[in-house]
Amino acid sequence: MDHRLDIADSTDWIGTPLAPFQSLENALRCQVCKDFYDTPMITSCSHTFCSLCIRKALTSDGKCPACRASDQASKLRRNWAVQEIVDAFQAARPAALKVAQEHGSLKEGREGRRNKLKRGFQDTNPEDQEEELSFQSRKTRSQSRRAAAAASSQEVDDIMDGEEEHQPDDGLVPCPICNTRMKEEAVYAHLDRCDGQPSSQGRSTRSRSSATTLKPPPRQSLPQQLKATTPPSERIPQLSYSILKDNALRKKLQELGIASWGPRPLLIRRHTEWVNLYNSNCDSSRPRSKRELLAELETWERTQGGSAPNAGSAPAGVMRKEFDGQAWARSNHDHFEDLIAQARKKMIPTDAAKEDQTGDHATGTTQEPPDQDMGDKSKPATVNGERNTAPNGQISGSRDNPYEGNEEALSIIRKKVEAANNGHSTRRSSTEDEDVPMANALLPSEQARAEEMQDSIEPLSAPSRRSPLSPTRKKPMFSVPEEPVEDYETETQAH
Amino acid sequence: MSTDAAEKTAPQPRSANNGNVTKRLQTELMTLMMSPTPGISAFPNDDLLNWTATISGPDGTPYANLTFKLSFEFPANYPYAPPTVLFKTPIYHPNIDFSGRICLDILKDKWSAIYNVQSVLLSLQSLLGEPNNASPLNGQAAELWDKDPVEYKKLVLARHKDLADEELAGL
Repeated sequence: MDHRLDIADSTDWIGTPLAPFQSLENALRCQVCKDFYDTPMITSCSHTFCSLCIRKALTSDGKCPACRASDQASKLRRNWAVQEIVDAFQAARPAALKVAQEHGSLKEGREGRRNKLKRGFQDTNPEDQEEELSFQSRKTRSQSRRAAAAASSQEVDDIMDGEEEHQPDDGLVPCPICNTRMKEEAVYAHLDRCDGQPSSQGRSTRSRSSATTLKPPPRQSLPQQLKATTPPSERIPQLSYSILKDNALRKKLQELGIASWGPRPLLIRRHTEWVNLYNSNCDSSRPRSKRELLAELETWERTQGGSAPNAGSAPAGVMRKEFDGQAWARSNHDHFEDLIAQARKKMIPTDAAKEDQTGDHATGTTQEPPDQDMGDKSKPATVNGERNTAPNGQISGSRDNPYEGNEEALSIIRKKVEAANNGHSTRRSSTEDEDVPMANALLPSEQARAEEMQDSIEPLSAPSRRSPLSPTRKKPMFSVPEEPVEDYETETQAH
Repeated sequence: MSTDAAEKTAPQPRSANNGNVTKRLQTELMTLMMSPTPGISAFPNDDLLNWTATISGPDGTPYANLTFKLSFEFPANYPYAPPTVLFKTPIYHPNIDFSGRICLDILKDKWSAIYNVQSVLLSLQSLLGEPNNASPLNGQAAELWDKDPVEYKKLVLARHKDLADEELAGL
């Protein structure tokens, strides 16, 4: 989510002079989604939730989330007052919050947690404080005025929306006089009889006509009435899935224009989801297009539906009671074998390397390395008497290798070296090309250790690694020169 | 295998796509961070759908001064379905078994979409002080709770100590 970092939240008010707004804001948020009410609906038990939230909750267990009273989606009613309050509050919120936070920071940046403009201002002077208080109250009033202005502009927007966009796409047209919706061809016949009074066609029609025929009162009540006229497009009825056969159910889904693949439980869940989405959209004063709804259903499909990663499986971490361990072992036998084989493969080279080491130790320095690289390396090694290099690149055991036999420490170092080498391979190889001989001559022990480590990491790549100019050749990042640092420096100067 | 699967399915697309769950959990996290409740805490792991939480044992109960770690795993249809909550700290309690599974109605059939991490943690905290001995997962604990509070407390401390040992061994 892009807005991961700036979610408006009721805790924004904490630490500002408007701290009580936290509970106000909480009251304007749906308890299910914790967001501001979106198309609030009131239940039979008089609890208010977003339309989609309560519809989903009812389809999952048929109870009001707040009091567990049984309820049905068909009994939900819109709660326009709450919608209006939420809209107004949301419009006023940024301005109010800004003022509140600025004040929080002015007041010597006290516990105001989000105040980035902390100033070292100490209000010890009572006069200052008083002044500030009056300033604050003034500010608050002007802010509330601004908020009201913002709210009213919001409402104007709503009106526009209501006029322009909320024409339900049901193929009907409104009567120009009474606004009753009817088929186009019926309008003329109707006009002959129309007396300007709405026909009794449900409350939404009536409220619209009253808004238009009676002179619209100033904005306060207008938007509400206009909103009430929003699309009376047909809700999709819920199905009693138990009496529908698979094919009939599939057909229903096709008729609704949604995907009809998958097993029966998935079909049912998809239908339920769609009914909730669609019907809550019907409730909304700002309905979205069917395409948007379909996109949302697609999201559902990806996350919870048929395309979900582990649809229907138990949450990880808990073994099911009826879990059949033997069947699991049988069905995953191949996989386990694979893993064992892989583990063995890793084991064998390490063992072989160890054998090599002991073997080479016996033969010692009598064997002359075949290539130039090895010669370079083995010379100082022999001189120092610290390490003996064998032709296969293996380092024989040294007198004072602190890690010898400490397999755990070695594996950690190997990992680090591998990571370091992989991460810096390009840079290192380019520098190495220039001063390879020097590097080889200078750091025999380091080089040697690199060989040792690389061998144990990837024994199969040994031949390609031999050439000093080969880009695959890497120096270790984390190896420690065995000689004192001074030696290193003097030798560098000598060169 | 479970961790393997989790890695393969890469939590990222899951959490990124499912805006509703993510958004709600973000809000919950924000509330928990900004107005913390004493004695409980919770924070997501790498994935927003997996949280680690702690509760401290309520005073006046055998669990006083002990801290317990829990894991939360949220389903994709949260909050319409309850999270899976497990005690990670070994705990001796009538309604919690030795693998940390909890028998609490609001985490099962009595779940409601208005519950959140905070309310679940508070319920668990009060469950520590008021076990439901009518339907125990740990029969011995249920029996001892009334019969022998001293022995009960001893077992609670012994079980809690197990973890300390295990953690030390692990390190």
